[in-house]
Amino acid sequence: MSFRYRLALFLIATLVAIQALAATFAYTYLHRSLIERGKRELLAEMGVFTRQLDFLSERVTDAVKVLSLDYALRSAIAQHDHDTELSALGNHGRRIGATRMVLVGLDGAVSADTATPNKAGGTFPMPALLEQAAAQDKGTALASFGGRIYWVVAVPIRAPVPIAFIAAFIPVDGALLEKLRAISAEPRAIVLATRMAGTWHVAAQSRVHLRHVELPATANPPAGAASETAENGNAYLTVTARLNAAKGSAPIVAILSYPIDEALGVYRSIIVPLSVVLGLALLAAILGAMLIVRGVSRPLELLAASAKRIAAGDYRNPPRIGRRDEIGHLAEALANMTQSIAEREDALKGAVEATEMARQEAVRANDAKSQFLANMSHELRTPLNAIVGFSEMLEQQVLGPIGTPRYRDYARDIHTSGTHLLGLVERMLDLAQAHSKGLALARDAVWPAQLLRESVIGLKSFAEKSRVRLALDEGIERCPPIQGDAVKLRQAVANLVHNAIKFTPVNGHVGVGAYAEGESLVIRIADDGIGMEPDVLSTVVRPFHRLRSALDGQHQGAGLGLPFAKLIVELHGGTLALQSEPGRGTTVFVALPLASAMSRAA
Amino acid sequence: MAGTPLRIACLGLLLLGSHARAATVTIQISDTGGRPAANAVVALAPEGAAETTPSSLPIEAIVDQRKETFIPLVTIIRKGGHVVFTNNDTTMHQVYSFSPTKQFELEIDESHRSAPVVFDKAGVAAIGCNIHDHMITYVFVADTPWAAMADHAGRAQIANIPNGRYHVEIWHPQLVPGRPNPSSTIDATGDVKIALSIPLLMASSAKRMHMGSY
Repeated sequence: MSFRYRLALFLIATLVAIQALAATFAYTYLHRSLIERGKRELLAEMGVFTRQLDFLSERVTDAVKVLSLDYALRSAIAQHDHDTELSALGNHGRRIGATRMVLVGLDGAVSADTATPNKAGGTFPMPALLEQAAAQDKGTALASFGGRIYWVVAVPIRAPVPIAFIAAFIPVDGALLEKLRAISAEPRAIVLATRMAGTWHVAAQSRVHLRHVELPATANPPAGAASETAENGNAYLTVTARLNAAKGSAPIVAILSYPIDEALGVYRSIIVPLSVVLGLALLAAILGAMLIVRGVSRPLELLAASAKRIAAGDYRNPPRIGRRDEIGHLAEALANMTQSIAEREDALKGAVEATEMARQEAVRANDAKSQFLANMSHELRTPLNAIVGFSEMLEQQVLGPIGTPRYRDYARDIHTSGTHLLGLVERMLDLAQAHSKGLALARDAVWPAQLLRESVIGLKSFAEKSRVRLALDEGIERCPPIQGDAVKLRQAVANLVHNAIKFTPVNGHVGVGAYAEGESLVIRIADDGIGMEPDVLSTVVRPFHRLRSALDGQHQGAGLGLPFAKLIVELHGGTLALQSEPGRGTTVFVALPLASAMSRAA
Repeated sequence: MAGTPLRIACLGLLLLGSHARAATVTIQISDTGGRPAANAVVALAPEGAAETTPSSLPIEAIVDQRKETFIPLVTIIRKGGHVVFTNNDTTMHQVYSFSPTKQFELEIDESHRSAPVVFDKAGVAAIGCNIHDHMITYVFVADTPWAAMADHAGRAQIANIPNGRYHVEIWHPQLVPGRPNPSSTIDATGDVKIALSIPLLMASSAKRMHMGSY
């Protein structure tokens, strides 16, 4: 997917996410605020509810007050005429819709009760109501008795000073609640519940009400609990609130329900225009995003094409974008870079050509040198053979005795030196041949034990002369064979051992061993001689290089041993590694492929 | 010149003697909030056997009805005394009392007066009008010669009290009903001034007429 589409997708996705988030937040906020508002309103309704009850009771109160003016009743109270009291209370109660009328003395004792006409006595259960009536000329309270809820209105009877109280019990029933519901501004259902025998039950409900009424779960429900319920596809917010019941009465709760949908309607009506605005904003944002993306991606595509041309080596048309922003800077940088690259490439081409010429010259010179060395060695060997052969004959006095014994000594010296010189020439020839790729290697099975024994046998006298202990490890007998040229390998190992002895002082020790490691045979030649600095380890393996420390006359040599050994080992597909520490000695590790590995590779 | 101081001293003794036999008690009555308790009635009752004097309290009193108001609010009469109710309104009044002190019921036509109502039992009678329920008046029937009503400043004064120890009882229309009347004890020798505070019901002026006890 191209950058353009990814950027566009990212921008659009971000915008959609932001809008979705905003919409979700707005909806959640609206919904919550609506519920909160409904809750507050319904709780306020509770206050309104009791005020409405009070308002409805005004009429009742007035009627009860009129009753208190009844001279017959006053007289009956003064005369303790129980029958007259009861009949007056009963008549008045029926007129004002009270189901129970109680006459209470100033001391709180019930003197007449239409609910229990045959027996008076006992104490009125709501003393606080009487106190309110005495102080404010009227006392009203909600009370629940026997599972029914009453609005109790108490007024003092005066003659002309208070002589008693009348308490009228007006039942708060469905009809009254319906009246309250009808005069209320909010459409709702009203249910009153009270507690009887330890459980809540509905005492009265308005004609319009929900089928399912959730009664409080506990004896003391919280002051205002709101819940959402659904019925007939409509959502309702229901608030349960405890009403202030008179002291001595069972608890009363009012459960008011409020259709959320009607209230939500206001918010719903905003949603359509809001959605249109949001949609238009989204479209505009998407268009804007496309324009931005085009503005970024077009020049980027041009730049990409330029970069591709530059990579292919076409520096003629560097990108030109007439802009002063980041893209413009990028194009400018790319143009500058192209110019630099073109210049550097020209310089590099010249340098490479010069180097190649120099290299070819060097190769040619090296070949010539190798050829020259090979020729020279051959030319040197021929007279040397004559010198060695004839000097040996002289020393052996093959053709008869030599008169003066000193001539025989000279002949032996000539033979020894000649032999040495011949060996040197031969090794140089080998090295030269190897370098000119002319060295032919035999491919025989070589047993390491035999190879090592034969390599050191000729060096025993040199070691004794140098008073260096030379020892072969016993482990070599168990080593598996390798494949190669036994003579060349012997020469190589002998060179290494010779070097080890040469650079080991008197009473030193040179150990030669071998072991199989993986698919290689490792030959290890260790001495405790003078050792080398780590930085010179790489130079000693080059032909004709000798360490400055070795150029002290004490250690003679042509610097051919180690390079020759390395060359032979490498021609056998092996490696040669040096490990050394000045003053502690040097260890040479020669790793050669085992015969078994060679045959598998073949 | 030497006799003059002695004569003055004798006169002083004489004056002291007459004061020693008849005391004047001044009582300052206020409610618990410190406001003067006008219309409070103070009655003194001698503790134990005491010298009796003829009562200076009225044997007859008139309670007028004007603008649907009984005037005065509180009337003190001696036990056995009587009250005449006059109607100076342009409406009829039905004066009644259910008080244990005196129960009666009179209809008085406009610009008429009632027959005297005799109060032969000591105590307070709360009297109302059954037609005008806000009307109220109190008749305090005293069985002691020594009673007085506090003026607007809450001050009540009783003179010519024989020396001795007295039980002081206070009554007021706004006393909390159902509680015993506030009382005290004084030693009446010479001029005695005491201050008493009594608990009264808070009464707005509109409801004042409805308050009261007997």
